[in-house]
Amino acid sequence: MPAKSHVDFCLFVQILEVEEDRIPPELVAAIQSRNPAEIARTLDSLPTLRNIVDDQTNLHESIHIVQGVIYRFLRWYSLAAFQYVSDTFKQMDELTAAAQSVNATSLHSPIFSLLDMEWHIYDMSKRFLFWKYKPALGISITDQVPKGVKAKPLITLNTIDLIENAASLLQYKISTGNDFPTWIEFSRWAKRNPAYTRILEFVRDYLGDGNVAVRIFLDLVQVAFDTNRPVQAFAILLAAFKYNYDKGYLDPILAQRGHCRWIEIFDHYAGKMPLEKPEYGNLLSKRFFRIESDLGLRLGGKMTHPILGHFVTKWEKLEANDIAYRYAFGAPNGYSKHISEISELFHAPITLLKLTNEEQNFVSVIGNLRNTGVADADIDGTEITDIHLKGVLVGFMMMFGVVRRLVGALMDPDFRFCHHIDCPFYAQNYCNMWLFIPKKYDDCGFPRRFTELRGEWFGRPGTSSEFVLVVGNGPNATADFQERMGWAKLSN
Amino acid sequence: MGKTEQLTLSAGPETEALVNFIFKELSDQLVDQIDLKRVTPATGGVAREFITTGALLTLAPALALPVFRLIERWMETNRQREAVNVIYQASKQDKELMKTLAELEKRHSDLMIKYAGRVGSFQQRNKA
Repeated sequence: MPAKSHVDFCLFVQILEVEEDRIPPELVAAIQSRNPAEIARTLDSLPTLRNIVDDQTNLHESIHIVQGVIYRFLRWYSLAAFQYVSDTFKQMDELTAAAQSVNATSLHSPIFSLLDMEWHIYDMSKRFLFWKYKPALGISITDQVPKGVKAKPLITLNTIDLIENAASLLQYKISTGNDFPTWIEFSRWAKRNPAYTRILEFVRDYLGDGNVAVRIFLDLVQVAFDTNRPVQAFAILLAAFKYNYDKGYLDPILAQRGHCRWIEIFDHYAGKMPLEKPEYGNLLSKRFFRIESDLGLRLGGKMTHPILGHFVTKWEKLEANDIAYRYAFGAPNGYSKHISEISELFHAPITLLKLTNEEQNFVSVIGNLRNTGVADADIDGTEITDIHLKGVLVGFMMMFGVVRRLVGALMDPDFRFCHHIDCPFYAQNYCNMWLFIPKKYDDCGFPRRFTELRGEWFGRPGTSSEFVLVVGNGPNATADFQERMGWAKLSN
Repeated sequence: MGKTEQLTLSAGPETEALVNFIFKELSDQLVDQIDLKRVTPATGGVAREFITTGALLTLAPALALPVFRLIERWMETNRQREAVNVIYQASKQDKELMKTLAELEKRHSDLMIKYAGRVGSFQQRNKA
């Protein structure tokens, strides 16, 4: 199955794959010329990307950029994960030597696998005869329930499942103009359009009401992503909601039509979670904590997230000055005024178009590079020129591509830009984010630039004490992570 | 009538197009009567465009034939590159439907239908 359009959660570069039969003749001619300026001119002359990229695909992938900005966990994760990418790039020689010394076939990092780590949610409600007198959920990253614990498995999910289901519901609301669908309305749309619904269906079944599930889901997920463990927070908040819903305490709110600011309800529940002091420097922290809106974290003390940073800074100011922005994406049509003011969020600062013609690929960069964190970086008051900006971003993308291939995470293993199958570097695919595909692979600039960047890259001084890379196979990585996270019993 | 039948579809990279066609052609009322689960490959830690490699439809026996008719219509109007595979797990044997499906298969060489009973239903009873 070929890789398709996607967004990664570390660098947040949007990659759109254009199907060959959707490329208009004028663009085909430009691609065949392999002249970047000519291709860029032709792309600019197209009335809209709609002609070449499916509308719904474009909208869905754009929503992930929005999520990267409005979900605090993703803001924190993407910045910290990029720091780890930088550390790994710096320590590549040591890591590969360590792997070779124990004949490891691959390297795994729990940090880079954090988003697709599976969590198991259990029903641990206490019952007496048929009477459920203490509703409770349990969560674990193992499917083995501890001895002596009675728990019924409910669902297995990961952080990306939450992101995708929320993106599909938001996509529905934006594309249909309906902020308050019934379950039936959403379900019909989801059957007629590719959509992620598994977690929504779980919430429907758990609450016993699909209409309530679609009303609360986006706000529930948004508040869960205010913590360093979104899946755990999701389970706690859902259990708290269920308790109050079953007791009828929420009936007056549910009776209201329109937007009910469920975020305030979930914020209230979140305030009662067993939260600890934040440990922002450690993505694998054993603590469970809430992430502040404005973290003020900077890479090297000078730069926000290299791609999303510009939008994040803007968003944090808007959210701090007008709380309505916090509610806006739960009902995007009702808050259309707010959304229109930040519509640029839907346009990724960097989108890479992979264009294929007659089995030859070409990568074109679209977007506004001035809307990136790199452009806003404070380099001792020195203005960053366009050429410098492009050079830094190309270097970051290359570094990210090399590291994600090295640790086998944050990428679809089938993904690559290049078509030169005879190239000696093709199979290794470390060049998966190298944008300049030459006519002949002998002319490729990747090996030279890689060597240069390895020589130039200093990263953080010393070795990061927080950096953990497990050498071995998958189960070892899971065991390490399991030891860190442990088993958590949640009750409300 | 309960949703007792299961229909598993796959048409290679065109599976989503087939699923889309079926559900867009059906009336709202019929869409509501069919449960749909899409099969998607692992994402590799990225948010990827939806890829459908298979679909599981759970429906009432009376809806099976209309869905097969739509599959046939889709095949007639689309020059799909890959064969369409359908596994139909019926709750009870319907000789009339089996005959219709056999005719359907005869008309379309790139359509493969496996008509099977659920474990414990007619196949086992037939053996007995």
